[in-house]
Amino acid sequence: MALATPTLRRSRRRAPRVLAVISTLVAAALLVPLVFLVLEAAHSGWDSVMHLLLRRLTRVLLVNTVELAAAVSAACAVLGTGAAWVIERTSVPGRRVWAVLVVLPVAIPDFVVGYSWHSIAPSVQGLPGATLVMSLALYPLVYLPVAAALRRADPAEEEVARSLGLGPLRTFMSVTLRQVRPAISGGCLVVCLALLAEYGAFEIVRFQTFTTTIFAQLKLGFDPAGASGLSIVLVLIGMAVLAGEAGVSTRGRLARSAGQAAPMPARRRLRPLHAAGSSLSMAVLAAAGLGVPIGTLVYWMAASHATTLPGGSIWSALAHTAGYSAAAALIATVLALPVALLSVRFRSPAAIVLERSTYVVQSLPGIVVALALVYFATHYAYGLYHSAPLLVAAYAVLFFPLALISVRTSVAQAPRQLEEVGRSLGRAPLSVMARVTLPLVAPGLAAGFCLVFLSAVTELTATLLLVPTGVSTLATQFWAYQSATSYGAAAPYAVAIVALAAVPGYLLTTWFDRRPGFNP
Amino acid sequence: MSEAGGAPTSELELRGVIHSYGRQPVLTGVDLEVPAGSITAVLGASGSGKTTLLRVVAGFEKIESGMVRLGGVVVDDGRHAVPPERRRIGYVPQDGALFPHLKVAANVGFGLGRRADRRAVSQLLELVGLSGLERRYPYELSGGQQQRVALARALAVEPAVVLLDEPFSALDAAMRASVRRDVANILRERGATTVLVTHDQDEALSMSDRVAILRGGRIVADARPEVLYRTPVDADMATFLGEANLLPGTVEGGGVVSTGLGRLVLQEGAVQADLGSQVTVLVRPEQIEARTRNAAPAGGGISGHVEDRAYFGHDAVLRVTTARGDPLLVRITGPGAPSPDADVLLTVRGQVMAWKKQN
Repeated sequence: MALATPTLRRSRRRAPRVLAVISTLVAAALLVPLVFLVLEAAHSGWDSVMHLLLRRLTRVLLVNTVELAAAVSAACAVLGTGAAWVIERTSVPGRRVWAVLVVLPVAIPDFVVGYSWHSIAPSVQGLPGATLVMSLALYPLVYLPVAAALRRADPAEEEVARSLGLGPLRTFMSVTLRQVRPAISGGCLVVCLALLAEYGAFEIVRFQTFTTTIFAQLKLGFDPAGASGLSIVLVLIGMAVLAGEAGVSTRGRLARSAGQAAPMPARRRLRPLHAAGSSLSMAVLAAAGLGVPIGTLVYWMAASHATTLPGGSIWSALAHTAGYSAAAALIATVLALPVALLSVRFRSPAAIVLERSTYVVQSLPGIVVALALVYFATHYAYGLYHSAPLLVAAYAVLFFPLALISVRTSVAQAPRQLEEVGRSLGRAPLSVMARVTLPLVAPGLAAGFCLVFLSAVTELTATLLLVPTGVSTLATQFWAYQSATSYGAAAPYAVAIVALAAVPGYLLTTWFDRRPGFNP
Repeated sequence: MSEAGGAPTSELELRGVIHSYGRQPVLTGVDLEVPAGSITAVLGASGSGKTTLLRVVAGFEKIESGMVRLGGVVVDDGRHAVPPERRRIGYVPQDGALFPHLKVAANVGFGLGRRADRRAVSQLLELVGLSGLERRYPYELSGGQQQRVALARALAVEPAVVLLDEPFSALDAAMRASVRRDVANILRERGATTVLVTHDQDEALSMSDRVAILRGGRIVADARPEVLYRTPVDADMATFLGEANLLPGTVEGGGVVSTGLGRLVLQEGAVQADLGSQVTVLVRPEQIEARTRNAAPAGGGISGHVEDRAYFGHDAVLRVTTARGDPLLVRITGPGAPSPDADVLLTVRGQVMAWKKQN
C-alpha cells in the first residue's frame, strides 16, 4: 500500500502544457516517415502498388526473409545462450576475458563483417553466407540479455529442482532454460528487427532481401512505386516483430521476492577435459566473430600499404561522419528529455500512448526512413534534397528510441520527490534544477548521446541515399571502394568507422558503470 | 474531540482545509493545531489523506479553500500560496530521499548554501549520532543511517516545523524501535515543532505528545496518547488504536454497567445513558486478569476456558471463551501464564469505556 500510493498520486497530477505539446510534436515528427510512405504509395496509385506486391518477387523476398530470420535466430539463440551459460555458470578458464571478447562483435558494423568474410572467401554468399555473417554479427544481442538473466535468476529454483531428484541436465532443461526463455526470445526478436533493416551485408554476400531490392529499385530502376510498396510490407513485418517483442517483455517477468538481493548462483566446476572443451569453443567463437573481421582489416591495410595510403580525403570523411553523427545525437537526446519527463513523471494513459508510439520507430529500417525523407524533399522542399539537415534528421529519427531509453532511465533516477525536498530546504526551483535534477539526469543524457552517435557512425543505408551532394562520409567512401572490390582501399575507412564508434562505446561500458550511486 | 490544555501558542494551524486530486476529494475540511515544541502524530489508515496533509503544509500542494498558518504567517489561504522554499519547513519523506549524487556532508549542507561550513555539518551529524560519515555516499549507508541523515538535513535549516512522512516504515522491525526513540529524543532536545504522519499506532502512541486521528479527510480526534487510548470516540477508533474486547452491556445506576464480565465501573468520558439502555463496552486485553482456579484469590470472578495462547516472552495473549460463550483476548504479563485448555477465573481491573450501541 505504501508503494502503491505514490503512483496513484502521480497519475492524478496534470502535466504542464509545454511538456505535453513538445512531446506530441516529437512523436508526430517521428511518425511522419510512415505518413510519407503511405502518401508515396498512394501517389503512384494503389492498383499499381498492389499489382507490384502480388508479383512473384514479393513472394521470393518473403521466403528469403523468413528463412534467414529462422536460421539466424536459431544460430544466435544457440551461440548466445551457450556462451552465456559457459561464462556465467561454469568455471571455464579465462572467463573474464571471454566475457569481453564475445560481446565485442556488437561494435563492428554488420556490413564490415560481411566485407571481411566475403573479401577473403568469395564463396561466402547467398543464404548460407548471409546466415554465417549475420549470426556472427548479431549473436551478442542474445548473449547480453541471457547473461543478465542468468545473473539475476534465483538459484533457489535450481536447488529445489535438484533436491526433488532432477539431474543437472534435466534441471537445466526444465528450470534454467525456462528462467532465461524471455531473455532468449526477446534477444531473437531484436535480431529479427536488425535483419529486416540490414542492407550492406546482404548486398555484399549477394543475398536478396527487401532492403536490397528496394535499394535497387530506387537507385537503378528508379521505381519509387515498387520501392514504397515493398517498404510498406517491410514496415508491417517489422511492426509484427515489435508487437511480439512487447508481448515477450511484459509476459516474461521473472518473479522474485522484492527487496532481497539475489544470492550468486553457484558455478559448475568443470573437469579438466570439459574445461578444455569449453575454452576451445569460446576461442572458436571469438576467432570467428572478432578475429576474422579484425584480421581481415589488418591484412588489407598491410597489403594495400604501398598502393593506397589513406589520403587527405579520409580525414574529411571522418570529420563529416563525426559532425553529422554528433548533430543527430544532440538533437535526439534533447528531444528525448521532454518525452521521458512526461512518461515518467505524469504517467497518464495519453502519455503512455505517446511514449509507445515513439518506439514504433524501432521497426522502421533506415532505408524506409530515407525513402520517406527523399519523398518529402523531392515533393515539398527540393532545397533539402541531398542536404546535411535531411541526413541528420534521418539519423535523429532512426535512433531516437535509443536516446529515449537512456534518458528515461535517468529521469526515473531523479524522482520529483528529490526536487520537493530540495525546495523545502529553501532552494528556488532553478537552483534545485541545477543542483539536483541535472546532475542526476546528466549521465543518461550522455549515454543517450553516445548511443545515437555510435549508431549514426555505423549507419550505411540511409547515408547512401541521403548523403549531401559532393560530400563523402566514412560509410559512403568505404562502400564506393568495396563495391569496386578495392578491398585494400576500403579497409582504412572500415577501421576509421570502428575506431570512431569505439570511443563512445568505451565510455558507455566503463565510465557510466563506475559512477557512484546509480546502481539500481 | 478537542482537549483543553495549557499548551503555548500553536506553531502550525490548519482551518477548514479542503483539497482534492481531480474530482476525488482527499481533505474535506481539516482543522488542526500543533503546539510549539510538541511532537504531534497524525494517525490514519492508508488512503486517509495523511501524506496529502503534509504536502499541503510543505507547500507541494495548493489548497482549494481554508487556511494554513505557519508561525505567525498565513502561507496558504486557497488563493495565494507561499512557495515551499520560503516556508522554513524540514521535510523528511518516507525513504529519506537523500540526494544520491551527493555525499552525506553535501546532503546535510544542501539547505545551508554558503553557510555550509564543515563545522556546522559535523555538529549536525554528531547530533544524529553519525559523526565521521561525512564522506560516504547515501548508498553506502544503512536504512536507519539514511533516515538520520535526512533528519539532519531537515534540521540544518532550523525549520519552524519538522514534517516526518512515515519515516520509519522502510526500516526493519528490529531497527525501527531504536531509530524511533533516537529521533524522538533529538527532536525533543531541539524543541522542534514536529508533525509525524503514520499508519502505525505503536509509533503514534509511543513517539508523540499528541495524536490526531485523520479519517475520511478530516481530523476526528486530537488528544494526548494516553487519553486517546483510554477514551476513543467510537469502537472503530478503539480497535484501530490497539487490541480491544467489545462487549454488549446494560447501563445500571451509579456509573456501573453490567456485562458478560460482571458489573464494571464506567470511567469519566464514557457514555451518559439512561438506566437500562444498551451500550458497547470497551475492555482492553491488559485490563483483564486470568488466574487458574487454584491460584485465584477468594472472591471468584467469571469462569472461562483458555482456547490457545500466543507467547511473546515479555507477555502472552490468551484467547478465552467465557461460560456464556463470549470470546475474549486477555494479555498476561509476568510468569505463570495459564496454559491452553486451562479453566480460569477472569476479573477486570480499572474502569471501562462505553458508547451508545450503534444500529
